[in-house]
Amino acid sequence: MIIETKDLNKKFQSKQVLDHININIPKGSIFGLLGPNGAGKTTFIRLLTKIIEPDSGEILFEGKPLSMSDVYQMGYLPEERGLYKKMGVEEQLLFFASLKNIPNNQAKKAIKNWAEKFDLGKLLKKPAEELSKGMQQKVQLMASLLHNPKLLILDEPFSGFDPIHAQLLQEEIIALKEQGTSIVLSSHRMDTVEQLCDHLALINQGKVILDGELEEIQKAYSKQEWILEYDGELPQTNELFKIDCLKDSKEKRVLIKPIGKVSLNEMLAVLLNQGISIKSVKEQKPNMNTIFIEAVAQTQK
Amino acid sequence: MHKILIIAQREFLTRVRKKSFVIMTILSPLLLLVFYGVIFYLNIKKQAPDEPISVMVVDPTNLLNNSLPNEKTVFFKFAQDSAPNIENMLNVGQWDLVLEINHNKQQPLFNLYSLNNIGFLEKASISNALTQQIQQNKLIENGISPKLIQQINQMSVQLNAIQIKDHNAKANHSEMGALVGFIMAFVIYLFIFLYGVQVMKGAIEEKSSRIVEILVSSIKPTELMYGKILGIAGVGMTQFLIWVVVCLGLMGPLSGIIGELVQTNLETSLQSSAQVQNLTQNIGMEWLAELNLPFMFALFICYFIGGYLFYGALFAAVGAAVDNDTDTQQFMMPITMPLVFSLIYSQSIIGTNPDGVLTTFLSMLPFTSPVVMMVRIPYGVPTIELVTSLICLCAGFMMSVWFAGKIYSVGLLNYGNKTTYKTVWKMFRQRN
Repeated sequence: MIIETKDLNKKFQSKQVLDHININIPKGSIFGLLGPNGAGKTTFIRLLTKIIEPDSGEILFEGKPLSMSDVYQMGYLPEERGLYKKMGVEEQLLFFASLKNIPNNQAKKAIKNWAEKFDLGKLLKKPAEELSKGMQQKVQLMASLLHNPKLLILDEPFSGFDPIHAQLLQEEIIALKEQGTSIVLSSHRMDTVEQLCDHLALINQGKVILDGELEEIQKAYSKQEWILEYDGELPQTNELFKIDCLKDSKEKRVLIKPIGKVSLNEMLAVLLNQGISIKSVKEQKPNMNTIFIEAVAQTQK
Repeated sequence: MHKILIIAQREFLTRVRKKSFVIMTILSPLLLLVFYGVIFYLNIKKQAPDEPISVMVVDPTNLLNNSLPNEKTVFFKFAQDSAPNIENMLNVGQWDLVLEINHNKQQPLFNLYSLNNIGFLEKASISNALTQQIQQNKLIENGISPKLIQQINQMSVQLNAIQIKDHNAKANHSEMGALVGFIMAFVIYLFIFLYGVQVMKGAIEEKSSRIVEILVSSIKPTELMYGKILGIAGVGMTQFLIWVVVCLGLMGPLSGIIGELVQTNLETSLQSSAQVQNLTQNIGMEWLAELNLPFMFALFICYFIGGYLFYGALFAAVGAAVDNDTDTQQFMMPITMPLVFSLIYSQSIIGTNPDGVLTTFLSMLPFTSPVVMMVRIPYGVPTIELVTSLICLCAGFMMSVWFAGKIYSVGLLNYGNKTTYKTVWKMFRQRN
């Protein structure tokens, strides 16, 4: 594990912002940190980066208590981010690098490499205020990557990016993962979380309400609904299952939903008996959006 | 410490490289020079008006015996007619003012008529001439000879202040020294204001541009604050040193010009070379030698740095607590009030007892000591008081840095909320 937290608690005034948080972030994974606004995600990230200290509990980095030198091995792209407007791009990147104790020469090389990758080479001498918002976002991301961090924490990294740049960022996140970087991704974009993350934790009102591998979670929330491609005439009514048309569906593609505890085999037997030819059956996995809404609603009951 | 220096370096370089810094560093002394030059010129010009104001005196009871001494700016003539039409006289434009004296009752009444507003100085000149003439008439009535009266009028006393210290009597020119002290105090006041506000604006900039969270993941907020205060202090010191060098360079040629102007001016106003000689001897350079300038300068640097650190930290706390410039107003008042008060109070020290209880107290209090003590120093402050004041200032800035550090750590990450005194108190109490 790159990060393990044990019973983390944090209170602001009388409000318990984090309540006994136990989260394990596996090495080399993309870990999704989800939760509604004000759930405590940013506070959790600030604890990981030692911007604030927990009231109680412990954070382990690679099995040892988290220290400031570990924080220097992290890259952090906060949700609230910006640049010095009047300062040149390269100059401020060098400044950020020096705060991470990176020697000047090494930082210059890293800036050159990343600038080529992000197509920023010609803009390095310009003041940040002359860059478009998307370009500024790239510079901010560069600032968090210059020191080849072991752990990259991205808090709402896609906000402010247009679809093209968001796609580019998504590809870069996957590339970083392939290079062995562990990534914590906090985002409201459930589709992206679904596409990118292997593991996730859902925080609500300061508590972890869902935690684990993405597939496991989807399995736990599965309603045993199936997408069926067929040939022939489907029965109009049935006691074992309901048939829904899929919105985007071609003619011979429907969603079958069991009524009560009915297995797939039982449903298929009914259909086969009626002379329907089955081309394919695929499980309809619950999407993260549904899981998110359902899990949050459950805790609020 | 290494990171504090990185922050300080960035603060210093970004500010010093700005065109506005270069322009202001060069222009400020020149602007100041032009400003005082214009005042000086106007002063001289005012002392020698082109034409004196003409006053027709209507004195039917002959209270003044047809005599009133002409002043430099006012010229009197007595009316022959005992009851002239005053409005007519003014309308014709021959006379600027008409002075009517009514002595029918026991107490004489003096009315001054004009078509336009009467200037304060003209009024004072006329009043002065009247008083002098009436006093003179009374004295003559009582048998004093006019010659004796003239002698009395020309008498002037030269008072030499002598201070006995260690059994040695020495001429005391502390007023001139206090003036130098006041100039130094003024520079401290200006520096605290100019650069304290820059510290505050710097914190607001980092907060409003949302850069602060990137920074605090690499450096502690308090270190960020120290670096900022230090870097901006460097900017101020650089600017100040450039000004000192420029002023010293200009002093040579300027002192010649000013000296000449003062001499000419004094001669025209005092009309007696003996008086001029007397006066110039009094304000000679003797006091400068007595002042122990290196000692004063060393203390100036101490109070300069101490005062800036004390107030700079408070300004930084305000910057970190608020979200934008408009929110700063309510917090600026209590911080700047003691500073403004100390400058106003310092002016009253020159010419009064510099060792009074209140003055001594204010020169110990870190809020006011950087300004008040600077004015006291030329009068001679006991070492124990100086040391106490410096220790208090040191303790003061440690306290203010500690207090500001707490606000800074919490306030920097507190966005989008309206900042009130209550929220600042909460920030102070919050554990980070």
